[in-house]
Amino acid sequence: MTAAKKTESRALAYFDPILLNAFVDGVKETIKTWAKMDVEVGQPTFERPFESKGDVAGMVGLVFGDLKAILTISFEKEGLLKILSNMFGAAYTELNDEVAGAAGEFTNTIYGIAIEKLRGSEYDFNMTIPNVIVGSYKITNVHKGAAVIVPFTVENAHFFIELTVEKRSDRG
Amino acid sequence: MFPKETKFLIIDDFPTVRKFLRLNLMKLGYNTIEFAEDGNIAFQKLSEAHDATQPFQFVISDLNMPGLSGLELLKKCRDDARFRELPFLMLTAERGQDKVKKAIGLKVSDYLVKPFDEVTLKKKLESIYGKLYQKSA
Repeated sequence: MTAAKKTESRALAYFDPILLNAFVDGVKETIKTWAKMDVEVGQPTFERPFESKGDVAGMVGLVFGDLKAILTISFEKEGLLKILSNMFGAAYTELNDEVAGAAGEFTNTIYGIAIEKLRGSEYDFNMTIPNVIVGSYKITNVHKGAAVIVPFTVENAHFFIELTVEKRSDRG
Repeated sequence: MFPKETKFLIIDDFPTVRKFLRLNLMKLGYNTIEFAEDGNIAFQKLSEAHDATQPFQFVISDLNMPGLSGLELLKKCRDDARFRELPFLMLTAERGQDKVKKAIGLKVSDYLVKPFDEVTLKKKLESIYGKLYQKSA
């Protein structure tokens, strides 16, 4: 096994399906409840280093045990506008502060669902202080860890879970 | 159920949530709805409306907000004779967390977990109204 493959294998080991599915379920429940839309979940991919895919992102930092993670929900402009248009029954056509703020609120809500689903598991987020950072900018190299990307499609538009996980002992 | 003239104050730092709550309250037939972005602004609005004898009759507040949080606003209201019995629905993305337990300790009327829809919101209003009615009966 090459060094790169070893790194990938070790990194992927952090992405326990229990951990990833909690966030995927959070996305599905949030979009279904608020926008009455069903999302299609694509195949997760692994990236190291990674670059955020969308135009607007909400971000939450997580710490649990020996793992440090960053959850980014990254929306292509069209995806976020379609979700908001459905949510409010009115056409949203432009990225503005309100739309960017919605990305943050979605992230916060998805995080809330995920931590509840993970409560009692080995991934206990009780010590975590969530911070939502919202902006229309490219997110690159925010984390030294591996990233798993889960794509979602809603009416031919896209958004992504980007979960980077770094084991503290792997740092440096 | 609360009468359609009920005056609501919605407090959340995210405009999306404020608008979504207003949309769903309007679907339920409520049209007297005002907003505040944090607990400090909210308390000022509550006081001014009370002093003007046009008090708010229902508060829906986010739990986590910059400035005065929902929890701090709740405590301030419960410590103030003017707002001690004011129906107060706490909105939160955190289920079963310590802060929710604190809100219950501070006599929050009920709490609503995000994401929510019109049906859940209606049930919460009915539940709070039912508790008030039972209390006063």
